[in-house]
Amino acid sequence: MASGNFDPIHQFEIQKIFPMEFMGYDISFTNSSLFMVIAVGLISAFLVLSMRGRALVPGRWQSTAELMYEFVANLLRNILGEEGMKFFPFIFTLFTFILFLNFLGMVPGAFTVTSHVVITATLSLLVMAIVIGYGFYKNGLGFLKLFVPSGVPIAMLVILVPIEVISFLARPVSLSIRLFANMLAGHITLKVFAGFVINLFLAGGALSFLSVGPLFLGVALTAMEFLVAFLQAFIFATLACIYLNDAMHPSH
Amino acid sequence: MTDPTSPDDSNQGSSNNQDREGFKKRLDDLGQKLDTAKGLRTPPPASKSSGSGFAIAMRMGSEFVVAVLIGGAIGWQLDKWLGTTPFLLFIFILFGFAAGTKNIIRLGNEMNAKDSKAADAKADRGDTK
Repeated sequence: MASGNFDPIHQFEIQKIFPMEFMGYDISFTNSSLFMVIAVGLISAFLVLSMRGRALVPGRWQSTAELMYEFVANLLRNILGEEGMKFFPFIFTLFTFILFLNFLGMVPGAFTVTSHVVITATLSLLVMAIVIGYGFYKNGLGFLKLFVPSGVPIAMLVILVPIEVISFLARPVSLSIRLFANMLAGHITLKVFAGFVINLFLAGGALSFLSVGPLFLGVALTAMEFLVAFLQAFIFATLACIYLNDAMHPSH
Repeated sequence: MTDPTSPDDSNQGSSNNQDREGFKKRLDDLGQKLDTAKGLRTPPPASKSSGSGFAIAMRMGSEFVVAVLIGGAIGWQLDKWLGTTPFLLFIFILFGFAAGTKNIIRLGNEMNAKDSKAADAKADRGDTK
């Protein structure tokens, strides 16, 4: 251990806490599930407790909760307009869930749920399912106009329709990959830099002094990771809104 | 204030009328206030909510790359089904490239629209901030 053999991937390992099986599927309660439960619990506790006073002049906690509400509400109004407010519960849930999972991942020793592509892919497929479902519910077959740009000659459609279809199919993929890749890469980088600090320090002699360099970088990267954690949640919510907007107004 | 619709006493009725006028005035005031509040709400505040440039850069990069990859994947799969091995892959990678470019152009247009809207809103407000 003197050489400090760190495995930067180890933190992403799924560990079963309560092994369970259901009809041949492994549905064990894992550390990932645990942190999701913690996140949901924290969100509920935060919102319920901070809004309990319902003061006209909000206190510190209440104004934080109101800030969060206003932030998501403004996002929705900007992109979807007033009629989009019916999606507020969904977008707010999505945003707070991802935000808390990302921030929980920044707690030392905690597990970063959003660093797994299964989670982010499920979330983005949920968004796409709602987009497609609502699009067909609201516009019927008119939703398919999303793939047919208006005002183009028929001959061009042979090229344009596949392009539109690909750009639609790319959405859930880029949505899920962006979130998971950012969280994964960020945490690996942090771990690697932390490993540098210890390895250099233990190397002894003049090299010990060099360990200050990666230490500062590690601090800077931590700040950066907090920014990314928020930003990714924000991007996810924004894009969900933009895609919902397409479902509501499919014509280009 | 038992039943405002049936003025049983003249004296009572006049006071009721005054009450009602006062009430109507207050109601109108409230309605106006609500309207202005709604007016404040409908044109978006257009502050920082478009996200930082960092967020947009992240979106641009990933959307472009993923579109090419998806195009390639579709072409590869179609090739496997139809037995036209390399051709559909090439064609669909090009489609993916086009789709990625289109996404980026659309994103740029959105940003431009938002910026000009924000500038308009600022001009309308008489550049108070």
